[in-house]
Parts: sequence; structure tokens; C-alpha cells
Amino acid sequence: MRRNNPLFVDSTKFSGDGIRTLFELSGLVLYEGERVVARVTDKNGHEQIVPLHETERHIFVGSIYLKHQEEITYLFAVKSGEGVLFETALIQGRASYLIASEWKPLRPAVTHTTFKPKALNIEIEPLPEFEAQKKSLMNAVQAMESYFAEL
Amino acid sequence: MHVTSVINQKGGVAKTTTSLNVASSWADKGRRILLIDLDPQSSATKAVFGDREFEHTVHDVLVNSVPPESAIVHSMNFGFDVLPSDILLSGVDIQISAHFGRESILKRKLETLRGRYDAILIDCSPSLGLLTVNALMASQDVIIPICPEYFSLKGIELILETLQNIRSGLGYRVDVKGVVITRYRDRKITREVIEEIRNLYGLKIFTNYIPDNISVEESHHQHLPVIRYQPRSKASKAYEALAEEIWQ
Repeated sequence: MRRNNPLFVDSTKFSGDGIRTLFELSGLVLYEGERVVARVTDKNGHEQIVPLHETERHIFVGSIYLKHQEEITYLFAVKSGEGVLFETALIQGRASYLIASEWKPLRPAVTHTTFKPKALNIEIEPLPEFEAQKKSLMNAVQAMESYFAEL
Repeated sequence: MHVTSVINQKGGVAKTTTSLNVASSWADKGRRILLIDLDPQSSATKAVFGDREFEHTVHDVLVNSVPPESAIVHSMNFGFDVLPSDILLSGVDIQISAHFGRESILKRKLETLRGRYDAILIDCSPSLGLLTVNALMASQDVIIPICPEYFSLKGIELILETLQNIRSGLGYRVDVKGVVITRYRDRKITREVIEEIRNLYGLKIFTNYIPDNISVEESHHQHLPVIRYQPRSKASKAYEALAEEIWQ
């Protein structure tokens, strides 16, 4: 978990005061019928689902009330109907005014149950089709290079 | 009343020179301007007033409940008001660290000046501490002066990270008004760095670059803005044009 710099902690709020936390997810493209949510779990294991809405191009935001500086875990998930298509790794953090993340999905989608924040241990794996595409592209580039070298 | 901070956590990028000359150009057009020197090194205060001592400074405003009106002094040479600094400001982080609302003391103090000025410029300290956070919390936007060289990119990254931390931790959004290119010399590496800033960070770069010109340094020694010291110099014209570009 990334530690908060005490310089940027609101001194007018006491730990546990209610604050509105804005979740901001950037770099996501949604297709028809898809929606994105943030799944936020507090330190007592209470989970909330926050629907996110596109406010700028590829930037999705949504907000909920949390307790100031309380330890939380969250992830972002793209859903279609009731099914989860993609989701990010679980992230640990502290509730503040804004939690900004970049869209980095895991594949396949992992099913999470309610958890305590300290019990997390999930590794990010690269998308298998990305590796395959990369390899195929590299082969094509090598083939072209040897072809032009012969010319 | 628009409040803008002039900030760069990297030193020697002409922060104070930019603050002084932009504020002076604005004042020259009849605008009511206040310059707040929030740097314990007091470079802006010394450039304007020399070694003059003050009964009250911005330190008293932040720590001793002195109203800002009591500490503000007018400069005839520069045409604007100054909230001067002194070396005591270097200990202010410790003095206010336990205050309730320590990050927005300056913002609350400036409320009493509402309607008195058209614009307030804050010349920030190069270090990142409560002073700088107070400056940013009191500002609507920031101007980033840079000398286009390799390390200036790191400086910009630090500022953007600070602004993001203020947004997430303190719930306050400060915009980047633009980047000012100072000490400009037309060289390949300079042009490349400017292009990189534009492409990597998507920041607005003001089109009036400030050339590397000795008249700027000389004007400090005369306690004059460059637009009065050498009004025909390239730097003077560049600062006047830049000030108008920023004002718009």
C-alpha cells in the first residue's frame, strides 16, 4: 500500500470523519452494454459497489462516503449484465477526497469474496493474447527485415 | 481577485524574476496587484526593497495573527504592493504543523483582502512543505517557470505530483495556467526539451519566451523591474508580452 504523505492529509478532519471520496478511473473504453463499477471494501469487510460514469473522454468517476483515512481495498470491474468481463487487481489505500487509478485489467476476471485488507496477495499477470500478438508482430518485423536485407 | 502561485521545486529557474516582472507589468497597466513573498530566502523582498527591515512580515500574518493589511507595503519602483518575507519563515512549518487547518491558513487570511486587488501573485519557496501547500491552497492556478534543460522535466513531474496530492488528500483542485520558458537560448536541446514538455505533459507553454539577458540581473541590483530599468531590452519586451499573455 502506498503511504500517504502527512503533508497532504486534511487537518480539519479527524480520522473516521465522513468524507465524500471520488473514484476516478482513466484510460478505459467501454463498448455497448458494458458498465464500470468500483468495488470498495472497508476495514470491517463491508463492501460497496460504486457505479462510475464517463465525465470526460475515457475518464469515469463515481463517489461514495467513506471514513477519512480509513484503510480500504478497491478494484474496478467492467460488467455486462450481471457478469464481470474484466477487473483490475485489488488495490489497498486510505480513504481521501480523490482516488485516481489507471485502467489495468487482469485476465481472466478473478472472483473475490469479502476480505480483510491485510489478507490480500494477488499477482498481476499479463494478458495472454497481448503476449501472442507481440510475438507475432516481432516475427513479422524480423521477416521483413531479412527480406529487405536480401534486396 | 485571482490568486496565482509561481512555483517550481527546482531552484534557479527565475521564479522570483518572473514574479517581479510579471507583477510589475500588470501594475504598469493600472491593475491592483499584490505580490506575496513566501520564500524564506526573501529574494523578492530584497529585490524590491533592498535591506529594509519591516515591522511585520508574512511570517507574522501566518503565525502571530497579524492581519495582512498591517504587513503590506507599497513599492513605488515596482508599482505594486508586497507582503514581505523574512528568514523567520524558514521555521514556520514547525510552528503551524499542529494548527487546525494548517494547510489553508494563508487562504483564510487572504479572504480579508477580497476586492482590494485584481490579482495576487505568490512567489513560492523551492522546497515542498506547509508553506508551499498553503500557497497552493490559496491559489486558483499556478505558473511554472523553467529553464529548458534536462532536469526541468523532473521539476515539472514533481509539481504535477504535488498538485495531484493536493487534489486527492486535501480535496482542492489547482490548475496549471502554463509554463514560462526563462533564460531562453535558441539551441537544439532547448527546442527539444520544450517539445517534450508539450508532448509528455500536455501543458500550455506561453509563447513569449524570456531570453537570457544581462539586463534582468542588473535590474535586481537597481531594485527596479526590467521594464523600467531597460525598457527597450529584449527581456523587458518579452516580460511585458508574457504578462499580457498570462493575464488573458
